[in-house]
Amino acid sequence: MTPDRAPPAPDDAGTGPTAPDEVPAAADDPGPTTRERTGRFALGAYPLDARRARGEEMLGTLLDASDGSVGRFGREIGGLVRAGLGERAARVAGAGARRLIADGFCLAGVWAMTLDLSVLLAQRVRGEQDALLAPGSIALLGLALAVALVGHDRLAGAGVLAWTALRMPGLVDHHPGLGRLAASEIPGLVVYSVMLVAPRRRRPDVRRLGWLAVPAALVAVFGSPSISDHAGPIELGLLGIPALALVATAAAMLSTDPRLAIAGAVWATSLGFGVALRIPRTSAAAAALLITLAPAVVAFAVVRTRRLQRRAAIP
Amino acid sequence: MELRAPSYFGLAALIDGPLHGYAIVRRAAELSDGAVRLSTGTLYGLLERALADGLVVAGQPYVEGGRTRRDYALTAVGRAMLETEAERMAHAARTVSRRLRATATPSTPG
Repeated sequence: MTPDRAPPAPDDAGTGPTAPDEVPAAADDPGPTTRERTGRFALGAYPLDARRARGEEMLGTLLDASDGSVGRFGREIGGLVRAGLGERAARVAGAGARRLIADGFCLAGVWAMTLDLSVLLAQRVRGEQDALLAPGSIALLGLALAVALVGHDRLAGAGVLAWTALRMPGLVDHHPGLGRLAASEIPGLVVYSVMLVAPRRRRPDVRRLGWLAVPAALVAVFGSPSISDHAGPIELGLLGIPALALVATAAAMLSTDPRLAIAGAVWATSLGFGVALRIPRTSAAAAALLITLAPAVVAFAVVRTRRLQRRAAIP
Repeated sequence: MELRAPSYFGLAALIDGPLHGYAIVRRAAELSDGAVRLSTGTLYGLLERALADGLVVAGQPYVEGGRTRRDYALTAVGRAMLETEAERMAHAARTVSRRLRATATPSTPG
């Protein structure tokens, strides 16, 4: 059923009386252009397909509803951003908490592969000799990473698990004691297993291979022989600034899309286990804090996702 | 289904016929004596869910006065849902009014 078009109202197609604070702006008022730009910017809070489907219509309603009133315009913009973020969050939550957690673990797996590949390649570029730096082994890891980036998590997970198994004898030599070996390898095994068992549902896209620029850049910086002793402020900045930006982004997106935060928290927990095993007791509190991060973020994601799913009905 | 005031008056705005977004905002304000002022974000969140639930249908977009518009119309399901909700609230109001009258004494203030 298609409704008849609403009859246009006398002046601005609205109905009912015009409130005092809704007097149309003067023709020479430059406000509307600025407002239109602000409105379009605020619409960026909505998912792309929602913007395409009804963005222009919403913009028209927003400009009419706030015409002549600065306060109303501000409230409209604030409401639009909240509603847009809410719609994003509801869509993400629609996938279900289990799927979001698995996605976060898969993302953590891709990060682990990226860093492992960068470290191994940098060591090789610096001329270090080790059985773990065999070209075939590094090539297998690189291939698995490329496959994951394109969108085939399951195949990549199988590949990277095979890569881990093949280098296990060398790892045992490097990590005397079962505890350190476990702390070093179990986080990777967990996230790679999730990639194998519960891969992300993504349409394959070879353009994502552009992310290989990240390990390439890391190798370019950390493959320099001068780095072998200690990293300088530039190198630390190159790692630290993106890491801080990532933490800030993950925290900002936590209530909308927790996958980035889950991936980061998995890393933090893994780091916490490493700290607990390698560094003296003075770091026990920091290690405990890091270890609890993944369970805490996962618990938050589960509660938040369920709450958003319950809100799907008309309030 | 129990509706909050913005949703109730937002949907009730369509009882008299199809309206576009801004007209719904104004009609909802009229019907609620100014108590409900739907923001654009709230309105389109409501319309999106109402469309998904089959309570309203949307027409094709058109341009009017330089604005892109689209009209929304209440479906039979939406009208029935509003009737049920209105009856529920009326019943609740009658119940409370009856109890207030039954327990009223000359010394009761007001």
